[in-house]
Amino acid sequence: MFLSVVSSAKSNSSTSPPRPLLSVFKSVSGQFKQEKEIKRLKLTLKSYGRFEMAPGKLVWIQRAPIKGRYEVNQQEMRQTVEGQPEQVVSRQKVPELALLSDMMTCALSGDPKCLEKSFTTTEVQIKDRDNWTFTLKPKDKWIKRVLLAMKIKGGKKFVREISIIEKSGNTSVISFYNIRGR
Amino acid sequence: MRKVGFIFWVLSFASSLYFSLELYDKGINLDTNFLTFISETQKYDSAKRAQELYESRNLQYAIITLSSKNKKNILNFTPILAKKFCESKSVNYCNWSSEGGSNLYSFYYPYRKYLISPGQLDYFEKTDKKIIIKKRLQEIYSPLAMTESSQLSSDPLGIMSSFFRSLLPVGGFMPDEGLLISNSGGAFHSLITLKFDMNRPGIEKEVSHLVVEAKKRLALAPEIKMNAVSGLLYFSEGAKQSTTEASTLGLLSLCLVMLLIVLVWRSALPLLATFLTVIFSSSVGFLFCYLVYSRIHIACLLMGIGLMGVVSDYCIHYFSHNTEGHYGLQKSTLRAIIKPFLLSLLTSIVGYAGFYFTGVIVLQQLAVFAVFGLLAAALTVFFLYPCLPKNRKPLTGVVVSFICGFSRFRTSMMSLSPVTGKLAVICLILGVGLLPKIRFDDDVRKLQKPNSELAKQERIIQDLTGVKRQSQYYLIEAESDQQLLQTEEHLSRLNDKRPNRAELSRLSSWIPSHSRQSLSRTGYNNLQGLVVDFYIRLGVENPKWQASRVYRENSTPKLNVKDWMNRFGHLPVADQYLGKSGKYFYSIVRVESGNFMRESELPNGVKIITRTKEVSKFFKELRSNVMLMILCLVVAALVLIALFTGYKMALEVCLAPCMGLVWSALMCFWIVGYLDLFHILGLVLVFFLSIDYSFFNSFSLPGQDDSVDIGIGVSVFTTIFSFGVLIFSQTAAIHHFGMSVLIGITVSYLFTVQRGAKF
Repeated sequence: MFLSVVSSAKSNSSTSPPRPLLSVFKSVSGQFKQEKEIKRLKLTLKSYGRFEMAPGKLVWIQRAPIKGRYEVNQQEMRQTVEGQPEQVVSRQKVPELALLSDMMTCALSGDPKCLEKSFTTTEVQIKDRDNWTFTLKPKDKWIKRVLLAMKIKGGKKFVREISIIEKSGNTSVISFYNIRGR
Repeated sequence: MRKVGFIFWVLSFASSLYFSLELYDKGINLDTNFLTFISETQKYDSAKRAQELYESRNLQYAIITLSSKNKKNILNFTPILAKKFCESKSVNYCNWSSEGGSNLYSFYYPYRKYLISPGQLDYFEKTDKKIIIKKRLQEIYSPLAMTESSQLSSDPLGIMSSFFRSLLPVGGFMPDEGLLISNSGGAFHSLITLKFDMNRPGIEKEVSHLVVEAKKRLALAPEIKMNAVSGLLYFSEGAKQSTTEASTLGLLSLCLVMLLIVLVWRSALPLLATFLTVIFSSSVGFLFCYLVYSRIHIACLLMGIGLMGVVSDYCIHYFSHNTEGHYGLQKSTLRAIIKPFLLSLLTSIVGYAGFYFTGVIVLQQLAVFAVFGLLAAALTVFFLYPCLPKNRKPLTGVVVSFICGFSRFRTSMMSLSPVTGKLAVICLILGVGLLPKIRFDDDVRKLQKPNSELAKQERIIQDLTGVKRQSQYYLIEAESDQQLLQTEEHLSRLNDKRPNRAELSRLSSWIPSHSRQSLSRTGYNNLQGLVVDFYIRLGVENPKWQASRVYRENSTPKLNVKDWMNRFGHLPVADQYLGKSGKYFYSIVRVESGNFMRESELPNGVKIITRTKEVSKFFKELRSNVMLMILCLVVAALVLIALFTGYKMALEVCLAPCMGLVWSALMCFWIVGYLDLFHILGLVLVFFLSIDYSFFNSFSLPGQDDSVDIGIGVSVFTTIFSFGVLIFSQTAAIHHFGMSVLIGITVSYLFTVQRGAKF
């Protein structure tokens, strides 16, 4: 259910909501690189790995610096980290965590309808078919406590980068590459 | 000589009146809080001072919320109103914008503390360092670990993360369009917090005025609702109610007293004389009281003004004897009453001066008020009254006939037979026998009910902010700051074991006490070393320095907790630590929910503190002292009168006051279900007034029974009109005071029989 951009807007920038993205793949996989900047410690935490996405399911396989597998589906969240037994957390038990994982899934899918549940679009920039950005502000009070804003950059078919600005001032940039859809 | 005295009186009267009005014009510093009964000057231990310090910090804040279904209304009106609040001179600090509220923790939890639990320390002590670090890294690198990574600089090992996570759901106000806004219950709410300048005189009034003005402005937008909560608002509402009552009841009693005097004397002169006496006495009493204390408590004012009933009695007794043909010369009128008057004045002054030694600020104020007021009344009797003309005709009329007739009837009933004559004595013995049945209740909360409208607003704000009013807290006392930490640790450990764990606010310091450090193998340094390793593993620049920002600053063996806390300005924990008071160090640990620990479960040095409980305890002590004082007064009066006039006369003089005391206490108990301090204070007045009746009855010049009867009768009715009306007060304390005086005076009047009556 990975989405591609079909927008053919010509304008360089716009404040109107983005046009709906169309799902063209049943499942998508690729690689990610995450850079998290911890402001007060002047530290950048880098991690790499793969992801797999299918309807109602996101798998995050981290290769470095810690090996781990995180799976989010509609019922639960599963976490397997090297040397540790698998942890399963029900969505009902930790609704905040479920919200954050949904947010990631929605952002990665670039599905505006899904994002609109918890975010308001504040800015949309569409340079061409291969280069678009939209900036979102959380409207859900749970997410608001953690995030200030989120930026999603996309190309012709896929979301390329998700930037998260936390309330603490820390920022996370997750870049996606070698993406393949089936 | 009479002229000199008169001129002196006029000058004194004019100057006291002038200065009183001047003071009134500037604004009286009126204290209306019944919880401020305890003074700083009294014998007062350091724990109470520490506790007061904590409470005074809470008192100076106000939280205001604006609510509307339309967000635009909130966005438009909040800045306008907030700016008005901020401009006020009574406001020291105000916060309404999202910038000011960026650190919401500090707003919601200004007094919250965090203490590493023994279980957590045990974990770090027993678990392999590598495993701890690895596990922490896994948490940090988890794609969902947003909050974990944001705490890396302040809580690297995630010790407090669960604590902070538990704070997050509380309070829905978040920065939104430049304001702090919450969206709940189908409406939008904005938040304004104010801190007041508590040193400003009349701050309660100013705060109340600010809120009233704001509500007036909001009349333009009726869809916006404003709620405000502050301790000062409660005080202000209490003052409003009390002053309204004082003016209404005062006016009512004044009208009744005036009517009675006019009906008895059919002349404006006694009325004028009474009026001048009361005005002079109350203004002198008020001035001296204000001069000494710079403020006056509403209870002192009410009881002090009530005392004017005693003062007006002097005028009534004087004029009941001041009739042409009775004594020929005006000077003789004074001579006719001089003995009972001086006895009455002396007992009243000595009795009221006794209040000064109770150590209670309100009663001390009352003592100053009464003593100077009574002296002013004496000046009036000596210097003004002799200059006034006499009545030309004897007193007649329905009221006079009724009073004299009733007095004769009363006496004849008592003298009817030996059995009826002994009736008073039998009633007294019976009453004394019933006294042990009386139950006392000193719960201060019953004295003054909080304003219901404010209480409703407070509940709304509590629901919106999630900040509950504290229901209980522990005061921790220790001989050193280290011991203080140890006791907190002990308390925390006890609390952890409870099945329904009460949410103790915990010390935000990471530091366990030195004893805990030395007891624990990991201890403080190990914990810190762990963070250094963790930072190295993460690749933090200068890991040791970064770690020291969290831990190492306080690794000195002679740690000063206060200094440590002050260094962490962003964590407002210093408020929790009360510092040294007297010999001891104090801190407050607040219990926010759950089932509270019982006194017996607490470790040494920890006390459950509730302000009302403390004041109630104090009231109980005070009530016992006042009761003892009444007993001493009765015995002293009996002995003194017996010494000069024999025991029979002493018994005769003291019988009526004792009847008043005993039966007033019993009847008040039967009506209310308990007696409190204010009933007992009323009894003190009953004693002073009724013994005056006995003095005038027994020591006036002979052959003037009618004058004495009229004097006593009118005095009784004026007292009933002055104090009896207090029974209509909505403030329980004043109501109880009025009730015991009303019953006591009535009973003692019924048993004040004519001199010479055989019984």
